[in-house]
Amino acid sequence: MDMLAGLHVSYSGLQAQRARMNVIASNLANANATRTPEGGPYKRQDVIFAASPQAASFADLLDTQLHNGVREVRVLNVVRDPSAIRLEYDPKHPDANAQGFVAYPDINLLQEMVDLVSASRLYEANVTAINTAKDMALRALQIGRI
Amino acid sequence: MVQRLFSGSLDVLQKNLDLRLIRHQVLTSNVANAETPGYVAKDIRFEEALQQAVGFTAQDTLRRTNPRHLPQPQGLREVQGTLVVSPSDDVGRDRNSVSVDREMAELATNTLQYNASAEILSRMFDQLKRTISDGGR
Repeated sequence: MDMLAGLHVSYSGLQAQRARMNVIASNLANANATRTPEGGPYKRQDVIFAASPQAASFADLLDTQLHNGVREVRVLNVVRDPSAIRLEYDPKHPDANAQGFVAYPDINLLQEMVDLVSASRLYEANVTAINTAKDMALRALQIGRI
Repeated sequence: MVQRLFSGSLDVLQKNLDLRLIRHQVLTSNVANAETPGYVAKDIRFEEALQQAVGFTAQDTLRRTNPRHLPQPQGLREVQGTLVVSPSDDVGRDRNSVSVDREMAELATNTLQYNASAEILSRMFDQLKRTISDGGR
C-alpha cells in the first residue's frame, strides 16, 4: 500500500479545479470578444471531469478490492458551446452583420463567478486533504522516534 | 515477549493505521471527484470487524468444511473493511452524490483517529524503552 497514493488523488483534484478556473477566467476575459482565430465570436467553454482509476502498482492489484474505491479525477475534455451567442444591435460596430447585429459570446457573468467560487473552494478542500495526508505520513514517521 | 507486554494491542493499532490510511484515500478521492458527473461517494467500514477480531487469535480459527457452517469471526490479519456507498441526501442533476462538507468532516475525524493510534503506538515504544533502559538501575 502506497503511503502517498492519497496525495496523487488530491493532486489530480487540484489540477482539475485549476483547469476549471483557467477556463472560467478565459470565459470572463473574453466576455465581449467578437473575433477569434477560428472566426466568429468567442464561444463559451466548459470542462468535463471524469473519474479514472488510479494507475495501480502490482502489489495494489494483488492487495484488495478496496483499491476500486480510489479514483483520480481528470479533465476529459474542454468543450465549446457553439450556440452561446448573443446578438446585439450596434450598426456602427466593425463586426456588425448586414442587419446591424453584432454577435457577442453569451456569457453569464453571475454564473461564471459562482462557478469560480465553487472551483476555488474545492481547490481549498483538496489542499486540506493533502495537508492531512502529509500530517498522517509525518506522524507515522514519528512512531519509532523516542 | 513484546506481544505479551502489550497483550496484542500493537497488532490492533497497526491494523487500525493501515485501514485508516486506506479510508483516507477513499475519502480523498471523493473530495477530488466532488464535481465529476455520475460519481458515487464511497466509504470504508471496518470498525465492527476490527472490534470482533480483537482478542481472536490464530489458534481459535475454525475450519469451515461446509458452506452451511456459520461464518467464523475474522482474525485480526484478515480484517479488510468493506467498501460501501456513503449515504447522501443531495444527488443533483449531474448524479454526483458527494457532499463535500460530510467528506471533509469524515476526513478530519479519520486523521484524528489515525494520529491518536500513532500517538499510542509511540508511547508504547517509549514505555518499552524505559522498561529496558531503566530496569537495570
